[in-house]
Amino acid sequence: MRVLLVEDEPKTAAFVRRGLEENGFTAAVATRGDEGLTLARTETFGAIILDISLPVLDGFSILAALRESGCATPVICLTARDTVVERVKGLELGADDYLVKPFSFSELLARLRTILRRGNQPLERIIRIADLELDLPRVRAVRAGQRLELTAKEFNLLALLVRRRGEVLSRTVIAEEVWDVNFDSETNVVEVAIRRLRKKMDDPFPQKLIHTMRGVGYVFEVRNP
Amino acid sequence: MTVRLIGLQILAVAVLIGGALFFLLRTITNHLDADDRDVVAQQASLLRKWFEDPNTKPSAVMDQIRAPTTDQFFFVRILDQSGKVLFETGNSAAPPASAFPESGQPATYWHVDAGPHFLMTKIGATVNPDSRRIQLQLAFDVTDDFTLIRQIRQSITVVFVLALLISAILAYFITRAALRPIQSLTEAAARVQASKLASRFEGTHWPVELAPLVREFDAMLARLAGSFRRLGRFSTDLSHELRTPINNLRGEAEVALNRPRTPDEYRVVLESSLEEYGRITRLIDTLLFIAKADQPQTGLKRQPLDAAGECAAVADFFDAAGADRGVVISVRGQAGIYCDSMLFRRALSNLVDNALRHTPRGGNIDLTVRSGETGATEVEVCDSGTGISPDDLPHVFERFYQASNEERESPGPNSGFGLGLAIVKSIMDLHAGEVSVASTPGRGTTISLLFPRQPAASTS
Repeated sequence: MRVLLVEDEPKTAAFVRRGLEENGFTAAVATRGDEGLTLARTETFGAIILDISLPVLDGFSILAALRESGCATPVICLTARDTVVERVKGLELGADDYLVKPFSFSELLARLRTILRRGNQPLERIIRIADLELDLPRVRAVRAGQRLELTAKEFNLLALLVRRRGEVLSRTVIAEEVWDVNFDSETNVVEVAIRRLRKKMDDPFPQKLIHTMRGVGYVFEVRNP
Repeated sequence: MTVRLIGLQILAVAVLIGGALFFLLRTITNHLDADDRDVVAQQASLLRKWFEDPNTKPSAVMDQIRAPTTDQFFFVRILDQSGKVLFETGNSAAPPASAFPESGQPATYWHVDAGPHFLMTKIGATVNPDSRRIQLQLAFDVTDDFTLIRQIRQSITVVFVLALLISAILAYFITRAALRPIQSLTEAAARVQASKLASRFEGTHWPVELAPLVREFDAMLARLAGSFRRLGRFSTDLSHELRTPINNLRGEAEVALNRPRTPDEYRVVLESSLEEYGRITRLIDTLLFIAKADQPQTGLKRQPLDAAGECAAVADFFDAAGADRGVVISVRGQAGIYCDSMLFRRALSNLVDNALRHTPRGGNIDLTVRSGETGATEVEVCDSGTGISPDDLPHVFERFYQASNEERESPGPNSGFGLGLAIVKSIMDLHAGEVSVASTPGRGTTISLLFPRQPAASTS
């Protein structure tokens, strides 16, 4: 998947590009607005990551020009200025998502994947990974033949981690997806919920499936010892 | 300022006295004019009666007129049909025959330079016995009246000028006396500086008119002093909050680079940094949120909601954390609420989070909603926690305020900044609502939020 990154700040451009490439994307970088627009018009990309404050042509103008010419490539806006007006403007112009600097890279990655997944999500009903079996329609989790006694929220949390296995999910994303809480709270609710989930589905078993990425979030994956 | 005020006062006096004097002069002039016209008209008709009397010869009438007993202020001229002068009383200054108005016309004034003033009229008569038509020209010397009016006019001018002079002098002194306190107030205000906000105006003797102004000035100074104090402490606290994570970042990086390390050791340093970055990011987000909330009506998306449902969502969010700490969170009551769902949940989750931190195992947190009088909605978060001391109670909603008895938490990735309740306050301000706190140390704390009812006009 090829992603266009329009960003004038060299360090930001460098780490986003590197992060994207290490996560299976190829990235083209434009450091000026006009350059970015030309690239977006002449080449095909799976998604565009667009900084708003750019030299020559700002992100809003690029977005407007692209949408006007019928280009439907998903766009994630990056901005250092978090005002409601800007957010609304970005979304009205046709941005698919909006991230405020300083943002966490894992968050950007998660949102990018969510956008790309949109519409062509495979309908999984029963997921089996290692010795864990998740029956989504019947809300049942079984591990090593043993039924796990999970609360509804714990099941939702596990289902989220399992569906997006291999992806590092930040506390913010988890809170948003499981509890519909879309603000950065100072609480440690997500940690506690993860800890309680682990107690039931990881602690009794030798193979751990939920892993903590310190300072970033949590990831569900099978790691070979 | 002073000159303008004095000028305005003089202008007012000039208009008033000038108007009064002018009216007086006009009244006198009109009165004299009416009197004179009456006299002329009466005299003219009397003359005609004499001439038309069949028992009196015209020559006898003329003799009568010419007699010294006749009013010497009258000049009479008699003309025949062709305009020939038949008779006139001797007066060299009298107006010529052509100057008189036509008979039947109103009397007119006539005078030559420095000569006497006359009021003239002309009247026709039929003389007996031969029914001859004659014209009677009558002129009344009104010089005395004109002199009188001129004298009155002169006196009035003198009075007017004197009044103006006196009023100017009075205005000067009154204005100066009235403005002196304002001058002192201006000087006092000019001395106010950010560093000297403690000074107050009250105490000096101010005139009654200025007392409320001075009181308001003092109140304003007190508010400013409070704001400055809070701002100063806010900056200090903010610097401290930033210093801690940055100090950690810097120290860890320096120590890590001191000597070669294994990749795992570097990983630990980077992971620790990420936690600190997260902390700084959250601090910035929170401060920006409060700053935005300070500007009213920024993107407030209010809608009618089910208060209990919103509370249940927040309680649900904290379910695991509550169970973990052995604290039961329950929702009671039923009420509608008009608010921004995201902001409401944020405020409530800050309150619940706060309550959780201070409630020991086995305690409980009750979220109660009810419709108050006047249609407002009251949301209460009541915990059975450690409570807040009376000294801290008035300050808990201030930014970065940490209760004195509260041990500062170790700066972990999720420790609070002391901004949680400040955010609640901001959110309530945005909703034009109220927040209040009541607490008994050792028994628990109750924080209640009061959301105003939905305005009747707005339905969205």
